[in-house]
Amino acid sequence: MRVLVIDDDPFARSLLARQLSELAIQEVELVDSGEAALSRLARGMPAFDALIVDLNMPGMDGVQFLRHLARQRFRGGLVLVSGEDADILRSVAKLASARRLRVAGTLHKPIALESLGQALGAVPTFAESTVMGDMRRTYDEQDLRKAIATGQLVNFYQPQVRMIDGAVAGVEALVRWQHPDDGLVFPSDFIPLVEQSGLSDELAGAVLAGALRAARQWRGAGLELRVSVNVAMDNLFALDLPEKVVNAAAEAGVPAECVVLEITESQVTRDLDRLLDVATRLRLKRVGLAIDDFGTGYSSLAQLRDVPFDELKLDRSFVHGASSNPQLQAILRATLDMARQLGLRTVAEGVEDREDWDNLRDMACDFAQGYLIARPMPAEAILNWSSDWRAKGHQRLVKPQ
Amino acid sequence: MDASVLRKIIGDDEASVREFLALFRQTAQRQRAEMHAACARGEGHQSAAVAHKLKSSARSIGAQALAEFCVEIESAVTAGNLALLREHLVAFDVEWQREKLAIDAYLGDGDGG
Repeated sequence: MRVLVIDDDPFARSLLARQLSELAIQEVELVDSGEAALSRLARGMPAFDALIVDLNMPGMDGVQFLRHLARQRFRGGLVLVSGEDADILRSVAKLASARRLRVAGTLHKPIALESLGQALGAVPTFAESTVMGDMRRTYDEQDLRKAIATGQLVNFYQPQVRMIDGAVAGVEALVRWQHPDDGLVFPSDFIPLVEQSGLSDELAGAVLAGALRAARQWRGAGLELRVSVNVAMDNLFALDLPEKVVNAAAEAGVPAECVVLEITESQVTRDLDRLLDVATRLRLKRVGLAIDDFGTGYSSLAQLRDVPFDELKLDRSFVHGASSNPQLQAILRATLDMARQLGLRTVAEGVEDREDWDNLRDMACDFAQGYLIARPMPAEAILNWSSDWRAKGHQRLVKPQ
Repeated sequence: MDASVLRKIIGDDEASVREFLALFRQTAQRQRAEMHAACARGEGHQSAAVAHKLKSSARSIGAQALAEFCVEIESAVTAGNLALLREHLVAFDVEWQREKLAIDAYLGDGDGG
């Protein structure tokens, strides 16, 4: 493992260097400022698996540094260190995760050797995936149109299971771009372009068609799953959307009630009447409507008030690690309580370890999705995964009643 | 100071423990001078920034009382009270002399400046 230490205090740097050597980590570089770290990272190879960052630095402080790091799309693990109190560390960690940085641990100074070891233990070796901003391929509208037309956009599926008995209930379709030169490209790298280019409808259509084809095949093999497809709020303004969805489902031979549209809101809703018209007709046709990433961005109580959702998806940022965070616990409990009273099905995203699972189950959340259950996988892998899960996987998690 | 605190941080190797205590003594000595100089220039924030670092270092060698004086220095500056800062710096000095003697005694040299 290769580690970069960023701390302006020479004594703290020496301590960390000594601790890392005690942990048998040999490849260590030390710098005294955020600026120095960024210029080291910009040189590229060899890439770092983890950065240990002191948040209190003169010049560029830790928060500014993380902003630059996010812009460079640093993919390694971050260990955040501060002499400040736990609240501040937690806020910064939250901020870092929101910017899609991977926080492996937050440590209060002075750092116990054991805690440092644990934090670094949580860092998978990401070095090969450290992608610098300028080395990243960018795509244009033409690339994207071609990708849609030639079927380079493929769906991966992440299972959702019922918490009470572990039954496999559904999957969320997650689009990936199988790029002929660049390999698998993730949505965060092309969805903004989709939206700018006005290709949201095409993309949503392609993803839905793929998901329905997969659902048909699974049903053929005796596995009846609900399929959830992500749809931007913009798509919901198309008055013919309900017919399109119902026709596509009918053509594929999948009941409309097995389709869930997950709605993410990225801007303030403009035309409420029209939205309500489309959403209500979808529900009349028994298509499910889920409010995605609930609690983040514009996915809010106002949406819940105005749109007839029947499913609420808890964002990962409220789920993972909640059992050891009193603030998250309070938010989770209140949200699940509210969802129950509104008669909404609840799905927790980001269930990544046993603690997350037990915590959500104790709060009577309906369904769980996350790495603990399964990572997203190609359609062909679902049947095998499902019989594996039934045979042994879920026994780990579901207590006999 | 409390060497057992430092051992929890860097491990049990006695040579390293001694090395870090000596490094702390040297660093703290310099930082103490920096805090006084900054205070004399009326740059309270500079004193507080140094105190912040020294606070963590002091905790890492188990010099809790010294760390608490650093906290006081930081909060005097946050409160914008330079007179109070000067007072805390004096109190810090007294505690520092005590800690330095303890480190000198542990290292058995007493030549830390």
